[in-house]
Amino acid sequence: MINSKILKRILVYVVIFYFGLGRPTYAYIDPGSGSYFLQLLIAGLLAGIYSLKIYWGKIRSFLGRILRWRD
Amino acid sequence: MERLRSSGPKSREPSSFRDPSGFLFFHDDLILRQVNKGYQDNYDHLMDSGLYLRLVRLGLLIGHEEMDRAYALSDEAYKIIRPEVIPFISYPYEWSFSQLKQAALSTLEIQRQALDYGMSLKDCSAYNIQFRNGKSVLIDTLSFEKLPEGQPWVAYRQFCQHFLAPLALMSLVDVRLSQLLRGYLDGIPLDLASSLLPFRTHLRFSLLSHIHLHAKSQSHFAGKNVDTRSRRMSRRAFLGLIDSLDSGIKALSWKVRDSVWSNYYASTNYDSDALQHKVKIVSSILDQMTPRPRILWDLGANNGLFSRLACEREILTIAFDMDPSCVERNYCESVRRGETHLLPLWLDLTNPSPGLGWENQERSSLLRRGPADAVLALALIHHLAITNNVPLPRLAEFFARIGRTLAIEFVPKSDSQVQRLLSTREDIFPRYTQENFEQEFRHYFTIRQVERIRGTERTLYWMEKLESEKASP
Repeated sequence: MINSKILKRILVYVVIFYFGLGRPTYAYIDPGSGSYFLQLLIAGLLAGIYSLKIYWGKIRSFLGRILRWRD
Repeated sequence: MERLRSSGPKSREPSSFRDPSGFLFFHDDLILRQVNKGYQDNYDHLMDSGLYLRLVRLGLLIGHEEMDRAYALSDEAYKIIRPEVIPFISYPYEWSFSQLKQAALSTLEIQRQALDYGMSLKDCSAYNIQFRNGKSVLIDTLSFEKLPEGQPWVAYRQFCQHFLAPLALMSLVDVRLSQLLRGYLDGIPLDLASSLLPFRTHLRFSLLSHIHLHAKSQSHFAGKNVDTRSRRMSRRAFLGLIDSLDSGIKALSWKVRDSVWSNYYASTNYDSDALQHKVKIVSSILDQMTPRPRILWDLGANNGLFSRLACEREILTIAFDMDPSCVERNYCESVRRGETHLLPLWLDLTNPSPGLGWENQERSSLLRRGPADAVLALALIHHLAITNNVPLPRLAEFFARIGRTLAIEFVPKSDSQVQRLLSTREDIFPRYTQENFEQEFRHYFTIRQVERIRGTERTLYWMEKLESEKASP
């Protein structure tokens, strides 16, 4: 558990360092830096889940066709 | 509707000032929107790409027509448009669970459609959604921007605060928490939502990420800037985000529980004969109203039985009730039936929606959104006069203020319901009599019809505001 805490810390600092100094966004509402950060952080995860959903749908219909053909 | 009066026939809509892309204003009786030069690119793309037409056809966005630039209120104007008018404005703190859920899902659907045309919503305020013909619709035509490739969604925070957080709280904690939206006009702060939600919500991915982690991330980065130049958010990740929010919202539900009010007509003084008679009287009153009312307020609408008498006559009916179960049931039923003239809303008449926001003018109080053409106050007056101690003169004044014609049911002390209300308290209402009722209301109204409801102690009145009173608001 202590390990994961340290890892989390490192991740946060790396990300902050990586992004460097910020530049203000031009949206008229405040998107919130935290909201931007979270999206970028879980972007990969969200893309992965979404891809899985699409491909799972395709696999299901593909398997469905195969099974019907075999019958 | 009433509006802030300012010098000249043109005046800006008080709630429309934050967006540099444009604003709403009034020109005599017209409601117009100025599209500023800074928004030209985005507006043209919205119209030329086909997104506008697609959304209007799907019933997700209100239509508009372009007007002469001469209407412009300032030099910044690129175009002036006249959007379709929404006859009655309502706010998320007046909506039932399913209404807010529908508004959320519509917003996400609009965002999905927009992405196909290279655009994105730049804000996700629940106040940009209204109900028209029984369906939720976006009223802010200037919400769209050309999708900034690779950038995270600028409206994500607002979506979570305006939609996901209140829906999660209503579904998983208490449905009455929608009232937090009255205090927090930019949606419920995520740290507040996070602290109120039960711990088990950490096990649900959508709530863990979009509420709990989101809240933590917000507080960590408060006051700091995040440079998005170097990191990119792919189109697939964007779609994944929308999809995640969509399934998160869809997984939230609220089961209507039976309440004191939900079985009102079954369990109280109306046998079926009395109910039939009341329906007959109200129907005949509605048929006699000339000119036909455009908007009718049914106060204390309960299961919407009498509201439906009005909306089936194609009168836009706002069915107000203070029981969230009643409003929810009414809305779900109206969706099931495909009703286009009924809008159920939550309202506590003894504490109606106030004016909120900047200068208390951004969100109109209930009274400023009136008066209605007609008002139904059935099985209501004793709750105001006895339970809430509102004297008859104040009631008469109030009803005169909110509508031009009134169908009201007088419930006397001999009625068993009132007996029940008085059983646990001192009878301090010597002036609550039918004679006084008629006397007080005659100060403001002409009584057109009086009929006793068969099998009950109750009397139904139809009244019209006096000519002299009609001039005043």
